[in-house]
Amino acid sequence: MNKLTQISRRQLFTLATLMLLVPSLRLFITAATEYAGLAVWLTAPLAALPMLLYMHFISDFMDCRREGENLQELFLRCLGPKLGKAALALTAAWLTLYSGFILRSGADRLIVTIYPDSSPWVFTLGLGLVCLVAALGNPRSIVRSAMLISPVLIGSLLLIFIFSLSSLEPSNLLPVTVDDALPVALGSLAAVDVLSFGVYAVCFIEGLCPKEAGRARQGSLWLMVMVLLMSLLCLSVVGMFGPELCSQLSRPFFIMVRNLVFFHTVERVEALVVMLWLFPDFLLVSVFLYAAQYCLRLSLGLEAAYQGERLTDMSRGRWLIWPTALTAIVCSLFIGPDSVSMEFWSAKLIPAINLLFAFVFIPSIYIVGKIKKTL
Amino acid sequence: MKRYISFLIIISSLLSLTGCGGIHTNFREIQQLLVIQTMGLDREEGSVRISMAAAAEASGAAPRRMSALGGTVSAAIHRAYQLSYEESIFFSHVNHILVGQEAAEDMGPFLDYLCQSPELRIDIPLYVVQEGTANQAVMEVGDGNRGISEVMQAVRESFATASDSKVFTVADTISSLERYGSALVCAIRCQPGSESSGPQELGGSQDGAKAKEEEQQSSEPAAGEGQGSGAEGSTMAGIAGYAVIREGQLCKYLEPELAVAVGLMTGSVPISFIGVEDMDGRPCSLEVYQGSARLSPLWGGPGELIGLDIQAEVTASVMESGSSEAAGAEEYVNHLTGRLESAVSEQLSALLQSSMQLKADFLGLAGRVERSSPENYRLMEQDFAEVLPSLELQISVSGRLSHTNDMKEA
Repeated sequence: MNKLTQISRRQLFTLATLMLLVPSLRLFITAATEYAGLAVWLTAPLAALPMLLYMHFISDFMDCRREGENLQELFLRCLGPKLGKAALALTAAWLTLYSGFILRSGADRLIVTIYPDSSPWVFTLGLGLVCLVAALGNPRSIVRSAMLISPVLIGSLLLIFIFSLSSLEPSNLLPVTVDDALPVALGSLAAVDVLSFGVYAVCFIEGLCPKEAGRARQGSLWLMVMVLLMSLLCLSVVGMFGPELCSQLSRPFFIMVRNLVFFHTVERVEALVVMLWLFPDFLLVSVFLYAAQYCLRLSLGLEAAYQGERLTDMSRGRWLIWPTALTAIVCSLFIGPDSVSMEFWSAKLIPAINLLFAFVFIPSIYIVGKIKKTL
Repeated sequence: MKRYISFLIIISSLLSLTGCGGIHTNFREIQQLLVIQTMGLDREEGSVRISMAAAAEASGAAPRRMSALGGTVSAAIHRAYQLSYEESIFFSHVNHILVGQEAAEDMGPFLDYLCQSPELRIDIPLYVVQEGTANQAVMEVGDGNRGISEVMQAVRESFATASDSKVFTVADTISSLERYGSALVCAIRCQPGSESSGPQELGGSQDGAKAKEEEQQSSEPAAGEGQGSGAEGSTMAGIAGYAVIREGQLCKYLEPELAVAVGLMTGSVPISFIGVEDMDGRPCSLEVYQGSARLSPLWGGPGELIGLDIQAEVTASVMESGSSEAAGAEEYVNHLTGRLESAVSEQLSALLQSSMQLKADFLGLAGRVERSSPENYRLMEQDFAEVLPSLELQISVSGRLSHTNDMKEA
């Protein structure tokens, strides 16, 4: 195990928590409310059962890895050199596209909430370049940044939840009857989408963790905490605005923060909270850029793991990090040029691809690996 | 140590990126900002007039006010920017939004704007200006030292009069319209500042308003009879009850005297006065300060709603009574309690009849019926608003006089 890059599983799941916050606030509340209405707060708990099964599946898959291996190496082993390389190229494309989308979505959030009339490229380019630097460096630094920022983010989330309690209207959350079962089930698809993303996203850098037993148990506990966090988010936002108003708002969480008044004196802190969300964006894009270039280098038969190279070192295919990051930035400039198109990307295209990747692509590779007995 | 230093760097970098720091071009000194506290929206011949007022200045100067006309709210704001000598108009601390009566006849576009605005909060109290324009209220209300913002703050906070109760916000209105198709909005009316000075026409004020038909900015309060150094002769804004908005359109005003009933049905009973007569026919004033109402649907069969049973409880104290020998006696208290119950019952009945006649569920009755009996509610074939006019009402009020203040000594 490379001590230079080694992280613990706890650190890995902390990173997963912060990465999961990005789609949670972007997609989950609005999408789940659209289907489940008043009963939206039940969607995350309902998603817990299928997600526990998925966590066990992913843990079983990851338990097949050797020391220092990530999900990418498992793809290669399962599918063999040719198909494996194709799968890696496809994965790299998805991760790069997702990175570009997150850059664009983050810029959109800043424009809508703090910097109206600004151009998105300033933000996408700025954050993209910072993420490029992170991807060029030691991946352990990305994880350590997550450890640093997580108390601030989780603390602010809890604080927001506590201060929103006084504005909760029971009539916005009740009644819930058996008739709500189907809408809640449909709404829980959004929760499944978000949670599955969190479950598989960190597998691309799990090689930094030493191989230890108990992944499924730790992962399940983490999943339960995430379900609780997402339920609290739903309770506070929908409890304050009601499902009808929530479905009209593009970013109900940040609008809720805009409405909060702390101790009858402090208000309009949404700018600070919006800026805090740059960190999950940074972590997600950095990890995905690192993972995407890792895929590409593996598919070219190069040693992809970080071995203490300097930022300017372009040996062993490290030059691929640059075009990967630039592709993500260029993608971000073309994704969602207007609000209708952005809505399509955010609410339809990206969630659909994510579900396909999580529940079709990865399981298919696992099945092939099991059939070929290469796992 | 490295961890703490990194933490400090992260936090300080956040502060510099919130749009308030000097590294961005939108940095402004606070003196350069015109901080708007009250915003008025009117419709004028197909265009939108926006009126804005800041708070009174610490120096004692009159609050700054301005108005502008545009095809949409955004266009009107843009026009206001062009006309303003202020470097920046700051909307983040708008505390009151007024909508003129004509504009309230089609509130949809205004509500859409308020919902989507990146600067405005959506929990800002919303008011309809009865028989007037928001421009008139913003430009004329107040005296030399106070403007509409101070007056509206007083309106919002004075919960001790009969006309005040829950102040409905933009979010409340949109939510209620989306869920029930109707909503209640507090109504205000521009009126002379003092009734003791005899009847005053607001014609002079309207003349003043006409003089401002062109976009303007003024640091003086509006000219006209309303202007003066004291309350007497100045134009004030007072609560005029509630405006009923149905499908985005103003359809009726409710009298301020229905405040207790509105409070009972919306779960926020204001401190209100109810005038009754005692056993000798002398006027008494009861102060209602607590109450609740329980609504039970009456079902003729599964999904067949036939009526509403409303059981209300109110608590009041005797604030003012005539000198009577029976004062303080049980019989006297029972009589007043009966009068209280009767008055509240009449209010509730009038309020619910309005809702039924208008086919407008502005009280959110459907939600209460649904919470009370969700299975039956979901079996209903017709919309609740359609069923509303045919419902049988059963209203019972239980009153209690908690204390009689100094009645024995009176």
